[in-house]
Amino acid sequence: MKHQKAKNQKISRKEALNKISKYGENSILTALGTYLILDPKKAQSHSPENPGMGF
Amino acid sequence: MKKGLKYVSTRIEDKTIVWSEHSNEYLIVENTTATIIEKLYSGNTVQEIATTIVNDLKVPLNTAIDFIVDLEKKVKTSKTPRANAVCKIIKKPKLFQYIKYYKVNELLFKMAFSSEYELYLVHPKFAHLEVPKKSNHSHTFSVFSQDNFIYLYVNNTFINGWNRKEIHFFQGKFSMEFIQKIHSKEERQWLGVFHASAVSNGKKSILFLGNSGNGKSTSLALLQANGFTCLADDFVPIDSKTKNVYSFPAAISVKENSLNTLLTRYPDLENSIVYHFKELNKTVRFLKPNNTNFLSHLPCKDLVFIKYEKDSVLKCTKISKIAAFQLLVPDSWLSPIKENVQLFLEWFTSLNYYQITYSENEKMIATVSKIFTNDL
Repeated sequence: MKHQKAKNQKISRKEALNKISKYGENSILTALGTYLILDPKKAQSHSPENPGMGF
Repeated sequence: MKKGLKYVSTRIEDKTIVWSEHSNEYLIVENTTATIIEKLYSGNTVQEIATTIVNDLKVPLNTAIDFIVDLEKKVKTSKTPRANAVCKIIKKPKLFQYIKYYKVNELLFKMAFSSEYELYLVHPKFAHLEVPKKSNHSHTFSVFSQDNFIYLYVNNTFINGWNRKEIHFFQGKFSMEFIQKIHSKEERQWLGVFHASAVSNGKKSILFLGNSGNGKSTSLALLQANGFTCLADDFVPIDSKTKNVYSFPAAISVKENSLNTLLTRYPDLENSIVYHFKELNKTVRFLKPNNTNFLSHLPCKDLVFIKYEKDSVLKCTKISKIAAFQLLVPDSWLSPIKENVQLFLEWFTSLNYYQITYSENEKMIATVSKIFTNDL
């Protein structure tokens, strides 16, 4: 089962090979097992550029 | 898997978005995978599910079982939920060096800051709301620091404390509490808060999203100078009942590289206070929003990912909902309450998504005008 994090969607050649070989010839399961996880922010926030940093 | 775990799933285009309460994560999965996850959440056994998919997928039973076990492990052992931990209550000091009064429509707020440091974390964005000392204020916000932490009280309720390294979360909570008092709503009544800019034509609103420096605030300031109204900058709340974009009374932040563009429309910016960020090597000024009713809220049907790119030809394209979802979620606070997640996904599915790249302001304004009038 492979997942991709939203902020880093590129996978390495090694990871790609692992992904292909995980379910042998059942590439349908490889496709079904590939998904993306998205984390919303843990709390309300402002842009870091707001005043207060480094004054 | 244990029955009764809370999740929400919605088909969008050729994928399914699955949200689970225990991790507050959104998964974008294939529709078949979503069906399997839904069955796991409903309490079906791995064996039962495997038996149903072997024919459809034409895979051996053992392989199907391995796959479902693997999937269950991933869904079930997803990271633990982030608790909204509240730190130890710190007693409010008696003395506050700076007291400011903000007027938002007819509502009066007393803002107390223990030193200049706390004042500058909050006040620059709200200085345009300041009024002379009044005694009939409705709410008091108190901000103070102790041992490298900053603390917030609203009236006599301790809200929380934040490390100085996470000051943007303090600012976010301050704004959230502020907006809740302005609009008389509690946190559970909001769908989410988006890191965006919101502009209105008086009847509806459009949200602008994009990475920092892409031109969200500049576009908002340009549109404000061309007959549109600024609803919110940097902090855009949407409520769960009406799914409307609500007004937030902060000023628009103008960075140094936008100054020349905006000076022709806003000559007063030349002499406005300049705030320096030593660590980021940036300066910013604040532009008063032209909104006269901070209680206003409007529906939103269009969301624009905007990008200023020097010398570029204007490009405006519709983008897929799945692509928009991937850009929107990591940059937003979304209510972790199941009912709100359902409503958020319904709202999200109903919107149109555009990507605008521009260098000529007039063309950007003309394009946004067309989106408002559905003439694109």
